[in-house]
Amino acid sequence: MSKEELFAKIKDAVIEMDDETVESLCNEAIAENFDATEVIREGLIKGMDRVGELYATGEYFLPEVLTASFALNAGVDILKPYMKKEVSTKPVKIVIGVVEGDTHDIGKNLVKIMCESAGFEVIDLGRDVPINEFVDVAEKENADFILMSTLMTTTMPGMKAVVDELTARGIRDKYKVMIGGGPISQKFCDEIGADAYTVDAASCVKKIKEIVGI
Amino acid sequence: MLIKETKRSYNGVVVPDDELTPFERNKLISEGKPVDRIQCCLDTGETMAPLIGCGIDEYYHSSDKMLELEEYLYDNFHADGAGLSTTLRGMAEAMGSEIRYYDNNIAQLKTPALTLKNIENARRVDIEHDGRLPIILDGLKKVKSKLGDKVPVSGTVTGPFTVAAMVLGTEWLLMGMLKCPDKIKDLLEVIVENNNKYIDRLIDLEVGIGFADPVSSTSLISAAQYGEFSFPYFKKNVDHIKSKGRGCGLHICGTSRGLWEYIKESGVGLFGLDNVESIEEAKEVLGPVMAIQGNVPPVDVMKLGTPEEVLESGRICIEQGRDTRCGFVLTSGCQMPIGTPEANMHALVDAARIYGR
Repeated sequence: MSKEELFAKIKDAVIEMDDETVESLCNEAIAENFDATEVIREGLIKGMDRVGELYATGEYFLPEVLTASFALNAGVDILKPYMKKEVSTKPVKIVIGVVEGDTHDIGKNLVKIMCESAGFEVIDLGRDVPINEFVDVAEKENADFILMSTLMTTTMPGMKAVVDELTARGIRDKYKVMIGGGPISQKFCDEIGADAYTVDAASCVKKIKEIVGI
Repeated sequence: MLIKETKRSYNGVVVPDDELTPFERNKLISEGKPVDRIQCCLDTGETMAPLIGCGIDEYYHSSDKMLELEEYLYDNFHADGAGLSTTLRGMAEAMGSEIRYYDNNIAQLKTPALTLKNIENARRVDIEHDGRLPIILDGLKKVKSKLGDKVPVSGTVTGPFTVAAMVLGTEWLLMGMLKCPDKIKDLLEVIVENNNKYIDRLIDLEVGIGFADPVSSTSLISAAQYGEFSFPYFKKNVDHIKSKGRGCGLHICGTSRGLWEYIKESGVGLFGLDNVESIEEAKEVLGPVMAIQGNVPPVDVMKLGTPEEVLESGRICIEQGRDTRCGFVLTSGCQMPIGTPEANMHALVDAARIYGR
């Protein structure tokens, strides 16, 4: 199989959400000595891009996106040890997490997957993340964006606390703060002084690209 | 019976007194007779525990606190329903999921009872002993005996699909539908059985029955997936209720428009829609076969708005919904958050008193 054929098959297997086929094709790519980074970029991520499109147009729903990302991750796990470190232009760097008090992370995971597949570097703080950790990690990692989500109305004030903490430390302008999740609205975003609210993962990626101008 | 309100007023408009108790009003409506105003329910529950100075953890585990809150709500607001919910996690906890409780927050799923690998171990619950189910049923018994002659009392059951999400973890349920559909369906059958056992207790207590099924929202799954994995099992619960000569209502959070053709066929008598959906459309599609309940935004208006904004939002809902053939009930689009001002809760019921006559 040529490289292009294999990449196309990997892409299709991700779209078909077939983790076993993804795994065997990625093993095949390693056996053929193909560049692991290229396999990820041209196979797995191309597949996930298409999944994102299918989600945006309503052909795929969350179950399909999750299952496809499960397949993508199965492939990444195989390829990762073979990836060469390459120096590239500084990628968009994102710190993401679910605010303290909330452990619902489906939405956050979806945004993370979509951001990674768009080529952004994502530092995932997980769920139930303390306010200061968002700011501390963003500082330490020299990030561009802080993304926060919550499904629960009770934890919404945590988002404001992060914005306030950035202001208090005099570093508010260093970061774009974006928020999302079930109870969040544009009104709430304006009220707490965040930079952007998006309704779902696909529009979040679009918004980030818009903000950085790519 | 006349209920004196404290003569609240909004820009000079004095709120009229209720002329009926919620119980009397509900009875007349069910007989097709005229009443003083449309019904208005406050979507309350554990988020309101702070109103009686009670930690949420304590509320979850005390039938006396549950009663105290329902009495407080009735005495202060005279809304048209009282009741207790199993909460979205109650049945899953009884089936073995580990729930984390907080003093100042809604409980959360900590560790699901099952994984896709051991899904066949789904537990058939013992209603008398498992999880908080006995506490909630005891609470309902107390609420019914204290308030039952003044206000309709109901118990909320969680839709089978949402229970499955709390038993497996939502992500694993969603992936499981694609990876091992038959196993998921076996699990749902066990949940239907468990729900029916609980429903039998609600029927024994002579309280109304409502369902909450947020994970079935088309914000998460497609209408086709709802038709295959959620609706058939929900319908089994509804059929069970109807076989005992009783009726029930349903609330789905988030988007649900794609599911209405199913819901029309479900046999429920009332559908509560989220504020992201349109009352006018629901009136057309669902109104001929069931009552509609909705849908003042719980966060932007109920929690963050002013009483005047609540009143205006309520007015619009009433205007859109009041001529629904099977009836209209004013409420918020979903459960009101912790910290919703009491003035706004008054304003919601006052909207029914002012505009719903």
